[in-house]
Amino acid sequence: MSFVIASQVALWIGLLVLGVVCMALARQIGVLHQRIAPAGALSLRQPLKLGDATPEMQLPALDGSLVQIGGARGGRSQMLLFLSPGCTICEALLPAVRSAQTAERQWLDIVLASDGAADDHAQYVRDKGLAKFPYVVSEHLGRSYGVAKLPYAVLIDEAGKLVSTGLVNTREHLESLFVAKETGIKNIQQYLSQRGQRRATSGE
Amino acid sequence: MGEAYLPGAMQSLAAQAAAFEALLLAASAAHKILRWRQLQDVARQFARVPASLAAAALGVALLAEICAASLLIGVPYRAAGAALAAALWSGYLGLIVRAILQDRRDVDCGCSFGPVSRPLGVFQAARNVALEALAILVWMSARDGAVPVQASEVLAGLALLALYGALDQVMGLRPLRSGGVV
Repeated sequence: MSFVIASQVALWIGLLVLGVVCMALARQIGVLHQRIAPAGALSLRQPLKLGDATPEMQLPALDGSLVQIGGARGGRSQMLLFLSPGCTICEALLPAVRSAQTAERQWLDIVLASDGAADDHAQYVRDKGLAKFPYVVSEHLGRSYGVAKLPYAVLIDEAGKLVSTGLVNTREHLESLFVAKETGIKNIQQYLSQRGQRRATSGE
Repeated sequence: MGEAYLPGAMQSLAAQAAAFEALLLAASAAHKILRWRQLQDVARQFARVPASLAAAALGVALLAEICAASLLIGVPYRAAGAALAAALWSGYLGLIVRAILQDRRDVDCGCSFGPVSRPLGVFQAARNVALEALAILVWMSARDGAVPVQASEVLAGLALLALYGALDQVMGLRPLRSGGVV
């Protein structure tokens, strides 16, 4: 009987240690979340203001099909992701873009966009397995949205209005555009400004 | 492992559950003492207690938690302690459900020991239901005779408390957006 009691005590001690370790790990994840937050796409100066109607364009994709950019598109939103074959950050972002296309497919279409020689882009599409995305090569499109740095994303809502734009270097930046649409907070600058006001009001 | 062994085992498990609930209530009381000012804000915003009564309401909750924890440890008073604990968790559950129904999910409920990034939801309500059910089980077993809380029960209670704390931390994390791992 003493062996049973001893083993039970040992098991409870083991469980206690396990619980403490789990708690410490989970706490550490929480601390990490707090340290990296808030993460959002940095919005740059642009010709279109957030909430403006976007210009409606019909542009040819690399595969020869016509892609409608901007304007009302049958109740679906559209994200334009500007990238370039020579941009290493763009390449690092591609897995997150593929993941977002699957996770947000109920409401969102993703269009890849760039400018330059079409042959280079066709090769890029083949190398990186991007055939399932419409890929538009148009300098005019980039100028219309004031794209100066890459990778740059533009989110257009189902009514064809500009919801959010910005530099997107990570998955968090990319998802911040979707969160902007859901919460109505347009960009990281507005979020930080509102948070500062809340803290000042509450005396934090 | 005959039939006569089962009631003894159940009573031992009930004593472990009583130790866990007593430790949890003690930790909750300590949380109130350590974060007295912050939890007065919680009383105002989450429980909608008038500002002038927030400290008094918090004091009553603190006293009730200390009483319930103390009663749960003593064999003759365990049923009363379990009943008081069940009543406390029922009250907290009511406040959580009210906040959810009033669409005040983002308010701090003060029901976690650390910072919380997740809004109020099914988890917090279900957790209180589970704690309440456990308190009722302790109360029912205590009516038929209870065994004293000894070192092994305290150890079990601490282990369960650590697991509870781990779950509390995990469920307090900001939920990630859906999508594959990249």
